[in-house]
Amino acid sequence: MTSARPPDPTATRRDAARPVWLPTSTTSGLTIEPAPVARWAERALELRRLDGSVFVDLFGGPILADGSVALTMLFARPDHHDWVALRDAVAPRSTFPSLSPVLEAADWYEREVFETFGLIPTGHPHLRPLGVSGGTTADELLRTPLDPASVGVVDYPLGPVRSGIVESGHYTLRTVGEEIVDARLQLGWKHRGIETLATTIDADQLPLLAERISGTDAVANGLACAVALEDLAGWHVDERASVLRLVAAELERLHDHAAFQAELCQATGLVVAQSQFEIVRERALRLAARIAGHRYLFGFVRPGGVSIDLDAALLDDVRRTVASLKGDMVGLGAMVAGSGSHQDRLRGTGAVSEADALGLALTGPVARAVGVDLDARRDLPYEAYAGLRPPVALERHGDAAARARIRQAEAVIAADLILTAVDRLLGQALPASRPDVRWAPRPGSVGLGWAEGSRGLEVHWVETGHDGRVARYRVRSASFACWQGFARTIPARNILTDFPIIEQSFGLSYAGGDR
Amino acid sequence: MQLSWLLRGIRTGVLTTRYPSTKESMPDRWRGVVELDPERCRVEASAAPCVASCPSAALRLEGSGVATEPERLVFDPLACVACGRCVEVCPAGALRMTARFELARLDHPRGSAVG
Repeated sequence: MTSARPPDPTATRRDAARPVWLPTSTTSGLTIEPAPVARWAERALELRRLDGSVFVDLFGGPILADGSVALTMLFARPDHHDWVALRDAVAPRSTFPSLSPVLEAADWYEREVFETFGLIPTGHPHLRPLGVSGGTTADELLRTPLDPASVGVVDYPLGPVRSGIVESGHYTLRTVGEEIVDARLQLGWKHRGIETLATTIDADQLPLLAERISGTDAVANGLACAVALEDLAGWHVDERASVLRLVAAELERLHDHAAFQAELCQATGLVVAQSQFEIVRERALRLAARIAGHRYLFGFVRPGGVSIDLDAALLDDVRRTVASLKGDMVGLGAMVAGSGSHQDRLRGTGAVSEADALGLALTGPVARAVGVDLDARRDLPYEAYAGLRPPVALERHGDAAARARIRQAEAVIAADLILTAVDRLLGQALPASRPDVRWAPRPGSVGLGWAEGSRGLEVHWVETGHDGRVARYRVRSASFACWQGFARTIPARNILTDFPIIEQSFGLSYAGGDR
Repeated sequence: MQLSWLLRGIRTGVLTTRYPSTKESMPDRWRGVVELDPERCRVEASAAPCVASCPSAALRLEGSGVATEPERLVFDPLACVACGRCVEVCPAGALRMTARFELARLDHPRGSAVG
């Protein structure tokens, strides 16, 4: 392990005690601890034991002036409603001790650091490029890492180009008869280099980019990015804008959960139910278009507020449409719950254990389906959710049926939150004008933004260099966090025809994971 | 239980439309194709805030080749992501979002308005 602490040429101007690799946190509730990377495993266990901290992210960058690479490990502390980040800088192309043996969740994150920055986590159990960070050719991505199959064992290749609207992912499913005994997942086909691109554009355009990470998570990512920028620039968002953002975020949850149910019904062959859920989704998307001029609400959330307000007539439209969608979701949910053919395919399929959910730091409905009682809207409250304490749906079995019930319950809760928010908005006068804000970030600082999207916790880290420009934009998407669990779940007592059901019941975004 | 689904399907009826033989309209706020009114454009007198605000370089200034003639604003609809930033910052009101959404055609001429 090599640790490098480069001299800071601006130390006298900024803070004599603060080295260049240690940025200032502008987010209240984010503490950045300088800690040698050799001590991170010990500190991670300590944080988990003492504070119930949850691992969220481990990433490299920015690259500092002398070529050394900043390393950051981020934890959420739900019990304290705050965040802790460990920070160090290591010399280029050097090694650091792998955390994966003690912190299983760090596996993919360390592989991404290895792939992107060339740092080698020594002691990693199966170090090879992850393929989500570019620089890996299609041939390399397709090379299966499974050992040669013996007689009677069939390796079933699937993807990356598949039928329907499923996104690009490549799988090698090893089967003996019907049963899947091993599986390899290869992502990276949707990698667009968004984190790198972010350092080349004006920071006030960053939310436009964030929204395009994954269309069905547009509000969650746009909101997390906007909150991070607002922290950096010291902007305050007024209450009305904050509530309007909540309406957008919950409408996104509603349409995505309806789409989830439709896709799950498609996987089990329940085609009438699929169409019925798709109708709900389409009506929600059309409502989004009436609100924001875009079906996925692109451009609605802006740093400093929202791009456009909703007058009383539009709020009434929201109230009537969402109340009707809620009624439809409740009715359809009851019918799906009573469909024997549908439930038979979901029960026991793709079960995630509680140990895996905790060990791999899974998030969102996938984790809540196995009893991990964590929802950022309640436990790491932000924006208008602070003080609201929305109800959190929980299940125990961790299978596809449990994930479907979680999504169903959350869709109804989302509708209730929108209806409550609309009542608040109707009681307020429209603001005279949208605040005219100018981007003036603090140099050498970090803004952290997060949002509980329909797939779980989306976390955006925006770090400025000493020129005030964005030096590192890190997106820890919920999908990235959950893909690790998905790869683990496929071979756990499932048969080949379970695969589409497991995939749909996780409901993850390929684009979101690949970035 | 299967019967209940069937009944629900029948009750819902046909919701799909006959588009494209029947025209569809978009809501008032819809961000479709950006329209530039060259008569109102005062880009030569301003600092071209629309060009600076465009995240996808769909707006650019182009000279005619004659040094004495002012540069004019050129809009590339194929590069446009319909974010609406240019409309917000235009001091002359020369740009507006339209509800036009049918962008697909076989022969997009680059650098010209969508026809």
